[in-house]
Amino acid sequence: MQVGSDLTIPEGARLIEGDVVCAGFMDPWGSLGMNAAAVVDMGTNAATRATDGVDPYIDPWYRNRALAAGVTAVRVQAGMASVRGGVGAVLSTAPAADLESMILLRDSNAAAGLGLSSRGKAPDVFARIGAVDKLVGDINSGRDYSIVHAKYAREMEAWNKAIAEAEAKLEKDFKKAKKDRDKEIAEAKEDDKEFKEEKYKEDKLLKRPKLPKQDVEDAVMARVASGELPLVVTIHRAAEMRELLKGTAKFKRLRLVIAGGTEAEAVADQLAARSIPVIVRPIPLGANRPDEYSGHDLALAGRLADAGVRVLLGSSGGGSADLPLLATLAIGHGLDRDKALAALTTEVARTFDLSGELGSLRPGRRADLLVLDGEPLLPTTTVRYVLSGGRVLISPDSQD
Amino acid sequence: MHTNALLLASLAFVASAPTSASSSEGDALAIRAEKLHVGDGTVIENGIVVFEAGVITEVGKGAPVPKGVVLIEHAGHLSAGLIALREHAGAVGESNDSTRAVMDEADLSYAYRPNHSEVQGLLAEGITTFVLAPRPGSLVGGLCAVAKTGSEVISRRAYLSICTGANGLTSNRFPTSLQGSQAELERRFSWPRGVFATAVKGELPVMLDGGSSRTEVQHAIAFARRHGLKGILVGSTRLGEMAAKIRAAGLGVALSSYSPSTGRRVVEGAVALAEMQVPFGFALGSPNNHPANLRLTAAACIRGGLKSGEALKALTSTAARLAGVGDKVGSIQVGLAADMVLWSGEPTDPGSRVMAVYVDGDEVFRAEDDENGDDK
Repeated sequence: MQVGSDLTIPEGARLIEGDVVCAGFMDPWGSLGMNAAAVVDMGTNAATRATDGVDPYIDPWYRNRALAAGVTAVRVQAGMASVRGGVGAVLSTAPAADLESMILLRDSNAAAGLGLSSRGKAPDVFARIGAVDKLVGDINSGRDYSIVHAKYAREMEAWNKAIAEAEAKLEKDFKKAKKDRDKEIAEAKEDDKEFKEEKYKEDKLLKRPKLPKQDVEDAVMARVASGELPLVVTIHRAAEMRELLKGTAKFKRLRLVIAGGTEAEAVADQLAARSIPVIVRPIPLGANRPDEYSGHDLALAGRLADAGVRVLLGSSGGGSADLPLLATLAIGHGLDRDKALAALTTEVARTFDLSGELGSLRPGRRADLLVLDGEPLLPTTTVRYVLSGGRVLISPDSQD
Repeated sequence: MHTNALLLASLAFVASAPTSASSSEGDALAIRAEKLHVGDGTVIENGIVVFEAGVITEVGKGAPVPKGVVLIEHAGHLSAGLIALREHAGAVGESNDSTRAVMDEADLSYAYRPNHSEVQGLLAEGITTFVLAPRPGSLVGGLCAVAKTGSEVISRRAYLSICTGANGLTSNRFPTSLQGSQAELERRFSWPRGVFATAVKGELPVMLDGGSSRTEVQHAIAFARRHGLKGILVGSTRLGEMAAKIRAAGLGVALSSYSPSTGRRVVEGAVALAEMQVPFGFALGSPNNHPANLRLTAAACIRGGLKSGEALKALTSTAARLAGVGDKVGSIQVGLAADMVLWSGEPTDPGSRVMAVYVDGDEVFRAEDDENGDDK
């Protein structure tokens, strides 16, 4: 309701005091709140809805852990490693009585995965480039689909109007026409002739437009092509990213988001110029890592930010509760502390069209906020209170 | 590097000279840091450390800087180099032998390759000393070495590596069961010869991989007590639950690396061990774990309630003591090796950057874009 240093506290309001207050952290690449099988599903398509895979009955321990770490929202996805991940959603990490109250946004994005290893094996290079072209083709189909359907919508509008006019006219002419017809029937009877009904000729102008082919996947890609839904592409290798950027340059309204982006430094100029955010996974990976992560470097977030690329930090589903801790690793490897905080709050909200709802402390926003005893993103700082939707869910006396 | 050192020698009176320097040639160097972490828990504000020929010669707030010694000003923290208690970096395939269950005389110092990229990678994370240990898979893996990162081995008999738990078993050679491994180890230690006799006498510590289940850890502790073994427990995430028993057995602990799935137990372990005053350090296990995991593990423990100072001790002085090299490394003390890390902030905050690393007084790492550096 109000934010500032000189406010009148409404009567009866509970005053929580702390050194630092900031917006709740958001994991833009998580899985908390999703059914495990939905997350690893490899058979998802562009229209698979994350909201259909939401599981309100996961062990509350996971939620509490995420909340205690200050993570109040997670963007989730069915088929996280699938070629098409479907429509993502943003979920609250707060315990919810029912499924609906967990969902903060039911269609945050569309998703695709390119060149991801499956069962420890990376797809070969031709298959990988082919997959990029296929995605570009799908966006193209989406755009065509939206053009055809927009034309249909216009035609339907014209048709509905013409029908209404014709009906009004008919209404007026009806009595006269009936009288004439009755007369004609009577005359025919008199002449002992058979009455021949005037054959109805359909007015070409009044022909109902034909409904174009319906396709749920194309319908999602149409929303992607028009920029209504951001498209999160999990992609790591420079060659594939170049191909994707080249192929999608013609879609002026497309809002690409790169997830992973291990070799994104090679295309940083383009990403910065096109304002394409990258969700970096700041996790330390050992030698046994998937092929696409072979060049993984904890310095990536800092380097991209230095090159002017918008950086988000995500857990990749490995545990949203650890994201604030992992974010400190990104800071220790060159990411500006303020940018790291933005990467977990405002940038996430901006990327997924939640700025009016979440990510900052402004009047009218949902009260997802943290009260800390020190600067955010320091290991020595304790999250004292966590509020979600205005409810105090974590406090110093709550058990964990 | 050496040309820089010569250049610096001629600039000896310029206090704010570029900082890439070496003291191993005999030229003394001094560093003043905003906060100097000695390693025993004390922090000296604007502390100065002077070192010459790779060894620390003066430490203190107003430590006298001998005439002609370059004084490097560091706007940040300084601590001793970090120590990883169970490491496999650079040993590639030479740190285990899947065909033999008992390799009591295997000497891991022969597997050490100081110039291997995995070893060099440790420097970027401020790790200057590590215990090179066999990979799990044998009942007795051999003698662990303590190596200086990118430099020499400083102890060839830090520990005798033993697996009492399931980590020592493989399905295709004897023994294939826990009972079998217990019987074999019992036989070796009850009528001890060679390194086993030295271990039983308490002269050679053991690195005891107890396995992950509570039963296995209990067996490991009981085994150590039965044979009067000294040393550390490794390989388990449940050591915190056993803190009282570990303390009673007089053992130390090397905590496993943090990961989101096993993290909670490691964190609880660290807190419980600190409370019971059981000495502990951190294992790393690179290359399977990223070197950044060492400090991340400590930070996770701090987030879980471990005091920041305790965590730093576990990463430096306690680890050195547990590895039997506390008289050589692990603290910023006169007479110890000049193994130091210059941090941008608190050493235990993963958000602090490693600005420079010194091993034996040589600058062996500097952050790429450090404005004070001379790399550009």
